Amino acid sequence: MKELLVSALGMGWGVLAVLAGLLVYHFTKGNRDGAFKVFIGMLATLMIFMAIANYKNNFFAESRLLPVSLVLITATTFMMALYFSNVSALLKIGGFMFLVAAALSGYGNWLPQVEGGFPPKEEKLQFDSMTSQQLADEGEKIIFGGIGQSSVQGAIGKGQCPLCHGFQKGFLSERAPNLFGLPERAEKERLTDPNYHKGEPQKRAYADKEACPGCGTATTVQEYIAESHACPNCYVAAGFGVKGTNDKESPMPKIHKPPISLSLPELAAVDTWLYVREGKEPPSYEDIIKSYEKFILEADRPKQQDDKAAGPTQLLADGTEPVDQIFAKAQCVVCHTIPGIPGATGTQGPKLEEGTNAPNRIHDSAYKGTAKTTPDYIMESIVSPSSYVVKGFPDNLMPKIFGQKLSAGALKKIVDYLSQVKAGAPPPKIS
Amino acid sequence: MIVTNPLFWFALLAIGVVLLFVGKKMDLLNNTAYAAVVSVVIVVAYFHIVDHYLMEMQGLDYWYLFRK
Amino acid sequence: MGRQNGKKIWSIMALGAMMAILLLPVATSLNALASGGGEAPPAPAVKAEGDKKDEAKVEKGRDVYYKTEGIVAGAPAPKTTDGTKDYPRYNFESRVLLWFANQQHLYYGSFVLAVPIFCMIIEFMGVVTKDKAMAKKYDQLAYDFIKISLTAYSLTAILGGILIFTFLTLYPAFFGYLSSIFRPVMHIYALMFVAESGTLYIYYYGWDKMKEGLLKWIHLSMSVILNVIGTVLMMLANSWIGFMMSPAGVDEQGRFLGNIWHVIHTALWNPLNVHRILGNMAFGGGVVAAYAAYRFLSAKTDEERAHYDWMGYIAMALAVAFLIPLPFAGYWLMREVYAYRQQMGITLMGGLLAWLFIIQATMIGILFLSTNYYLWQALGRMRGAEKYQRYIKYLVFVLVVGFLVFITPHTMVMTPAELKAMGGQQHPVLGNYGVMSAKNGGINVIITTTVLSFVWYMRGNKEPMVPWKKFGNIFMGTFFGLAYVNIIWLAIYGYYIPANVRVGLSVPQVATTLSCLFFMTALNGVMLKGAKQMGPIEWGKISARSQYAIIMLATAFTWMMGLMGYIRSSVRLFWHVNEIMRDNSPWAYTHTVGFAANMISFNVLFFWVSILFVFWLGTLGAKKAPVEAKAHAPGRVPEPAHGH
Repeated sequence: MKELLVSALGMGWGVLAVLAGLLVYHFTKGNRDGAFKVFIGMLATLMIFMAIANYKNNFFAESRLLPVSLVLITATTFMMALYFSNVSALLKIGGFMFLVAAALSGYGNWLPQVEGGFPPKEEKLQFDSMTSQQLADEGEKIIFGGIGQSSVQGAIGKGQCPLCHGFQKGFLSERAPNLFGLPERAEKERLTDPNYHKGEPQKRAYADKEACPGCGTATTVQEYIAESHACPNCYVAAGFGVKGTNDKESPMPKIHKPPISLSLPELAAVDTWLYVREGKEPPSYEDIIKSYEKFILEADRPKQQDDKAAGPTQLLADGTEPVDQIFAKAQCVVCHTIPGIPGATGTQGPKLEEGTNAPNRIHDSAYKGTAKTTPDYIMESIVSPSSYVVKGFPDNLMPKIFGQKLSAGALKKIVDYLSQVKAGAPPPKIS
Repeated sequence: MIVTNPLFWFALLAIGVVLLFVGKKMDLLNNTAYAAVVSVVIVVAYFHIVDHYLMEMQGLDYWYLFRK
Repeated sequence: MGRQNGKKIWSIMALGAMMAILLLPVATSLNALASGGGEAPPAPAVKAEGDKKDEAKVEKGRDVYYKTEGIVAGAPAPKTTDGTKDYPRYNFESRVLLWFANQQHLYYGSFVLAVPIFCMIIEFMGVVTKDKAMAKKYDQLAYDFIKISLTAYSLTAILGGILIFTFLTLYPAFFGYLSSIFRPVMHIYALMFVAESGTLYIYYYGWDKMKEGLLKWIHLSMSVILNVIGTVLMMLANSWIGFMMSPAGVDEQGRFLGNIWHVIHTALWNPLNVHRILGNMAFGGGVVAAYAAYRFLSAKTDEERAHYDWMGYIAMALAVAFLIPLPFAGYWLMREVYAYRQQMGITLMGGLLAWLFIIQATMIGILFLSTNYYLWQALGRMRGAEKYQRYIKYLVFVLVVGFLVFITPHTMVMTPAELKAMGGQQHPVLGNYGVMSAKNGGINVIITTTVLSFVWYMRGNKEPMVPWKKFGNIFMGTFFGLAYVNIIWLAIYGYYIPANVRVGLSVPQVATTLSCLFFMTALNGVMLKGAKQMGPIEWGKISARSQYAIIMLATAFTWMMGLMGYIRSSVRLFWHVNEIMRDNSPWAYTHTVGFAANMISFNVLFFWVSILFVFWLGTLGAKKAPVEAKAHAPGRVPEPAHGH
């Protein structure tokens, strides 16, 4: 308050001095009425300058005192309106407007304040000219959505790898091998595995024998990683195949194909991170690219896109697709068997016959969720999978990110479809 | 349930309108009770029709809770 | 008769010629569009030479929105860097300066564009009214309107100059890019502006000379032309912001592809146009009403008070009439935003800017509350309206309850940290499932109550004489009562049914409200045919408080306009031109709600203080001629065109 007064005087002393002069003049003339008006004028001036000082101090500041200025001005104008009758209407209207604006400003300041952060730095990603550390950072972004996110459970980037793979020692990784220590393991275990048939792809017993006709098998660690990305069915780590295929088929999609479609430079970044984070010297950018060129025909290589919407806000499905594609894009099919959805034969999670299951689960004594209807139950299970864990299946296996990664429309389609699936009945139509 | 059928409400509306004309013929409209009954019949029927058809227009079922 | 006809033909021909001249720029531009859009045509010889050289590398680009291919005809959008070269600055946030300049220009521009539309309507009413005294009164009112806007017109032009100057000084790279894209239509813009000024001055100064017979009709048609030009001008201005939000007609690098129509006709252009026209009208009505309120409050005589009370009433009625369709236009705009970029829609409604929409909801409530309050006060100028006064307290109760429900956010207020974690005040996806049905109930109750207030106002000083009046009254009461029941029932019902059914409930709710609006005002009109007048409307016998309600409405509307403009502009986040040209200035972040609110308040107050000053200057001029002022009093049937 005192500071405000001081800074107001600092700004307005000139005007106040003139008015004081006027006051003295009126006194000497014996004009009491005039003197009184000037006195009111001085008071008003002081208040106005206080308002201005307050405005100035708080313009960019966090404090929410700006509307105080407006209230001060309102008080001033109403006070003036009392004594200066010829412009009274004008002053009152003006004052009233200040009051309205002060109320609205105050309301705006009372609400929770969110400031939109600065935009992500724009850089045309030139993967080929990066140091391996920069490249590894880009890789981490692609896998986890941000630098330093690799140790966060549930972090996920456009590569969507952590949906199935664990990356840290001890992280849950039941759907696919934990990739901790991969470079070492590739060399010591995978390439030497008799089932891998290094150099003799025809002898392989897997669904695909080669990534492309005549591509051959990997001979180095980097080529092994490249082959695994380009042709998941060429070699399936024991125990991680699609259930019922006797580990002949892998649930993993080809990473360079839609929906994930990583370009070769992006794959190079991902691979570089796999080495760098274990303190290993990564192969050069060119070598990594070459290893992929061995397994991916030129026509199949996706062009590097401008990753405009990449990052955590990117949706897996926006709800405009038919429901079977939503299931595929969100990778539900990898873990769940869903009647009526082609390819949905996963067994990591329960079979989704929610038209039958949901009512039973809601009435299960172990059920702690809040859903009362089948659609609510399904929604709850997607958005917070741990609310109820079906017996015989582990908790925390299902990612908790689908609430953010699917649009409302996509969620609705999923809920609509699943609530119609009943055990023993023909599956509903795909819409 | 019959109330979930829009035809029921149309019938009610029709009855209301007939009552209105009958009342006019027989000079009953200035009878408060009669006027109130006729008004309620017409307005209730009208709003149900509005609710029903505007939900149906969107492919939704207004009587969702009652059909279960 | 023959002479009359001859005059008529001449006038029509003159009018046609005038129109032809005025519309010439449009015609020429259409020509240019048909031929593939005015690439600044260099001299043919030079072009041929150029062709020879560049034949091998005619570059093609793909339109980012229309997906058509076109020959690249412009430079790519400049990549700016933070520094004084691309972003010269004073010791202040450039964005705020530009914000201020833009908003002031927009306020004045909206006002200046809206008032001629009112003039057109009111002048037309004056021409077709059979009652001679009333006709004169309308005519005088239209003249008063245009007089107000004329002062504002020059201010608009000055502010436009300031805006361009600010833009050019603070954002040279951005401005350079935009003007290079819009170069083919820049001259049209300038020509239209000249045409607008010309027509406006002829319209204003010709008022006296053209007040009889056919000439009056020509004068009236001139107001139509004036409005056509004004609207085209506004649409051209809108094409800039449309391009900034949803660019088209350029390729991914922002290179112009030769088709200027694509650049203008972007995804959001038409929704913006419609929304803005309606918004301008409501705003213009508010400003004129505030002017009338000012004159009413400072009036010295009863005649003056009566005139300005009436003027305020008409202006207010026009403002509210255009306010009612505004939400529907807003809904269309929003739907187009979602169709254009889902992400943009989410940022608006469920993300960073969602709190601003909560403020908007509050403002809508305030607008309706002040409208109701005004109508109740207006009952005071009618004899016989006392019978409604005692019911008003119940309406207040209903309104307040509806308002409270309406503004209650359906998520809790959270700390900034929680907010950050959630990426907005609502869950980004599940927020869409929030129970809107209660809120819809709230706002529909408010609107229905406003309709009820209006019906009471209409019958304030009248006593229906139709034989079935008793039934009519009972029916009307039943209809309103059950409409409330239906709205509230649907709101409650929404809690018991699943989300996908619930979202549909708002439609029958709105239909209920609209049924009240249309059927009940119509029924009321029929019932009041030949009604007994308990006394005339005593214009001027209204409380001073009612005028503050008008001022409240005008201020709130100005504020809301600033708010919505801010939302529209800031949804681009860190893009100058969405997805084409990035904002790399130090001010590319989005301000807090509080800062925005303060800034909007500042803009609103600056506008009002300046325009009140203009009004005040106007009264100074009038005071010099007190005799004339007296002659202007209504009832005495004023002679127009003395006051300037």
